[in-house]
Amino acid sequence: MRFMIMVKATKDSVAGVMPHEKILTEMAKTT
Amino acid sequence: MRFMILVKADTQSEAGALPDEKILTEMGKFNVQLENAGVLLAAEGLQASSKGARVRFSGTKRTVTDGPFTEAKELIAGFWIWQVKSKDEAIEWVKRAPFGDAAEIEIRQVFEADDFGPALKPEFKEQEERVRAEAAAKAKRGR
Repeated sequence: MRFMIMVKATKDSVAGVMPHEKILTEMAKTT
Repeated sequence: MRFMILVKADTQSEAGALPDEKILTEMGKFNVQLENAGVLLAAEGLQASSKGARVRFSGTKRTVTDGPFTEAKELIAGFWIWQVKSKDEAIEWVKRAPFGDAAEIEIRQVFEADDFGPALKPEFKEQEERVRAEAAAKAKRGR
């Protein structure tokens, strides 16, 4: 079975604030 | 540019009612038009929220709540991802979609790797592109 995982918006995302380098790096980490 | 087209849930979809043959046929035709125009990247319907769950993050704590979720108007029942040249093009396609009275369809632009600017390091950008391409290929094989 497949699932869609939805990430809720936050004040920052609604304001168009870009994610930090730290967050992008953690999302991209391979281990 | 890519857009995600979100179809809201309603009491019927949340009750697990399946779309009838007429709707499925009309949607099928619309999807063929999208595909022929090179617009269609993905199209999926979501099962009722009673088959889902929520995971809330608080510090290091993770709290899991099983569905159903009550706010039907805030829930999503399906989505497309389209490749188009502008938001206007996406709007024009949505206007032609075979939805009934009172439907409200939301159009959201999808981030492209370049939109993140220097915060997304080049090596991660390449890695993300590779991982997404692999995932897309896997999705294709799965059909």
